[in-house]
Amino acid sequence: MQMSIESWFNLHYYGFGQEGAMASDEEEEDDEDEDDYQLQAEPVEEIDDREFPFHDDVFYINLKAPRVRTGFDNLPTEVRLRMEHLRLILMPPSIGFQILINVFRYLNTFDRNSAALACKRWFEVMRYREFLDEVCFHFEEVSICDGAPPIETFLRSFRHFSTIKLTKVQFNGYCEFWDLFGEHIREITFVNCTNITKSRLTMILKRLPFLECLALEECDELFKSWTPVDKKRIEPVCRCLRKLTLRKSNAFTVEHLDYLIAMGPNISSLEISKCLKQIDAPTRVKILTCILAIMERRKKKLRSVDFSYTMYDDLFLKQFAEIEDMTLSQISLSFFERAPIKEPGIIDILRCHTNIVHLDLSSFLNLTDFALIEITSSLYLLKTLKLNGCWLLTDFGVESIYKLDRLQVLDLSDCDKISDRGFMKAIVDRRRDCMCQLYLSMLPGLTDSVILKICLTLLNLTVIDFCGSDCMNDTSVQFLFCYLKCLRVLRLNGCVKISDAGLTGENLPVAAIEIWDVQTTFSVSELNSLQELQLSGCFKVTDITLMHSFRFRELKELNLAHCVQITEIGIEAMSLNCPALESIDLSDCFHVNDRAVEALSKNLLRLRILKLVRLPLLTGASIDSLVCNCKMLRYLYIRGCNKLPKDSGDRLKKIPTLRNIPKC
Amino acid sequence: MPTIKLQSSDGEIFDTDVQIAKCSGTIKTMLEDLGMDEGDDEAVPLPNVNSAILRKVLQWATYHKDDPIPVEDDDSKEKRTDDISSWDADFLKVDQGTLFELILAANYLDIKGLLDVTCKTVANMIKGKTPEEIRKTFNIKNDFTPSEEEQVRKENEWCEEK
Repeated sequence: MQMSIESWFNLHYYGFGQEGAMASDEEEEDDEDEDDYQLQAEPVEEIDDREFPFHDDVFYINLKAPRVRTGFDNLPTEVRLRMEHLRLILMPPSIGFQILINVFRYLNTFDRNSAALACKRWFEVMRYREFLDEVCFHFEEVSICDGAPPIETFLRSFRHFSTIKLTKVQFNGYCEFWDLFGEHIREITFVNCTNITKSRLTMILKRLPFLECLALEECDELFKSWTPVDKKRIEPVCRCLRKLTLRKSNAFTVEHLDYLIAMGPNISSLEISKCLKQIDAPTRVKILTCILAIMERRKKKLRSVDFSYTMYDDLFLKQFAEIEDMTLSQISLSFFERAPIKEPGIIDILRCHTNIVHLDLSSFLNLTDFALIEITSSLYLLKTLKLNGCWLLTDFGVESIYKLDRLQVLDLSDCDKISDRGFMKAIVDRRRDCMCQLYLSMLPGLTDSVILKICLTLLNLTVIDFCGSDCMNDTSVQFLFCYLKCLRVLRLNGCVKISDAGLTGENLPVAAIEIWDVQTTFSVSELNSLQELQLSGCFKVTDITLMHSFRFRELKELNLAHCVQITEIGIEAMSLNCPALESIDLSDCFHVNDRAVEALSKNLLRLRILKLVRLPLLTGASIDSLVCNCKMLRYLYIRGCNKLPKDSGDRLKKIPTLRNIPKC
Repeated sequence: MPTIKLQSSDGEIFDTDVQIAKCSGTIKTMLEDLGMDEGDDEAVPLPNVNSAILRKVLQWATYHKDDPIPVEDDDSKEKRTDDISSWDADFLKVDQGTLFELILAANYLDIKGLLDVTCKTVANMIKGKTPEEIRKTFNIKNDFTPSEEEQVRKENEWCEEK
């Protein structure tokens, strides 16, 4: 495809890179913008009578503007409005840019992509930084070279990409992609890329001058092949880098770490998670000492650290606490099994970092009530508190959470000593309008009486997780449907007491709410902005629920694994009433047959992930309908479907979007 | 009740309660900046809004005059589109032309509540639709060449939510 002049302009002048973007400060950029504004005011008024979008002006207005702006947006408001008005009179009403941005903000990624394809004007709106930042382009198990798809296709692209993720890719030769699009990339992640070398990594990073986040995950091969040089010679290549992440790596050394840090002089967030697993103690101590030294050196800039599931020790925490003048707002220290029960180092850290807003101590196995009380009394700014799997906590410690006025996210999953008494005092003691996420899975000590209390006090919850909780039954789910209208995510996996009556509100033995003689019941469809629904293992759920209550316009993810009673009738109805579904799990629903798969593949145009594990009724006809109808399918799981023909894998290769060619 | 006069683009004068008129940020600033008082007989000119739309806007503003002042949007809050009140939903059962003119008027007059609810209504018309369906809904002409469209679609295959 030939690139038109217009798209060439768009590519080169609409962008937010190039000149002026060296100004790392947001404010400075804004100032510049205002200057532009003044400058442009005069000439623009003269050309007032010309027809929008006058491409030549777009060209020169944007020459100086270092951000995603359209020519239209840079005009003074009055002129803009006058022109809008003019357009209104002259043309059929259409929506202006700023307004389209407002509208697009209400859409999710998929709807936005869909809307952007309506026409070029709408497509332009997608260049807005806010929208670019919400999507990620994820290349998986492909070759990254100019001559092969998908990169071959992307070289012809006329838009920008701000986030790139590379999983298990092979780098082959020089790739122009980085030259063309590098200056718009803000975030890059490498996952399990076996043939990336240090020189290739540097080559790529040099072409990403405005990179803000770099993540290296499972990249041991990189470190093994990389002989570090003397630190003094390291040029800081990533001046804009704010976040460095090393995940699941065991092979890096002190020199590697120093090198990476030296590359980004402005790093404010450091994540070294799930690392240092299979290495000997002396090396580990050396690296931990190095991390401490880095923190000491960079303490003025560091705001967030994450050492989750990395093998650190209490001495590390003690020394961490001794770093003076460091003000962190976010700490993640998940999984620490050997914390001493008395005077653990974590307490020292938390005493000095009273500005912490996000704290994740999941699986901190020895966290005691005493420690939690210390946390809640010193960290009064906390918005996020994750205590998933802190087994030692009891009601006595948990009660103290009531002090945290600003809490938004609370995770108490798997703290199985908690009972109603502690929970009631901790979080549902009064109305908390800022609470939005509550995770309470696997808590046998809670009874259904907490549910009503939650519903009456935490009205703005958007995420609720009750997986494996005994307290969810047909009556308590009714309260959720009645009160928590903001819910986006509802996880009820393994809540085996729930049946059709609770989910549909029909044939309930007792109505949930009775006012005098008026009985009111509710259906799960009351939660009309639900995006994720997990009902795995709720085996009492049948087609009745699917037919009567699954009407969700925005539902993206649905898990019905082990809901053994559902059949094609329910699935067909559901597929018609939940058009936005992208991910479905029907594993072990053994009544699911070819017709059900056909209905799914035909009606769900957005389907990307489909799990159909151990379904004995599926035959080659299912494969045919998937191949014929699915245009988006990326992952398909059909393990253990015995009747599927042997050549299913080969036939499925005809779905061009499929990433995993499944074996059955 | 103190009132002021608002003049629409086509010259019609609307006698309006000051309190109601002030829900428009534009009018509020105008009154403050120009030092216009209730007593003034002079009408506030609104050259961007015609009488039919201004009438609708004032109807909306009258109904919502006692609403609490909307707080600045918290970024962490997800954008909902299903929380349109039934009165608003009925009020916005209008043809598309009127809906878009209301958006423009709300934007010009700086009435956040009305702008929000109208944009939500438009977003609801987009949700769950394919590009073809969206074009049909809004009567948009497809100005992509087939190869450009194919290009974008191919790229979108690798696109996911962050």
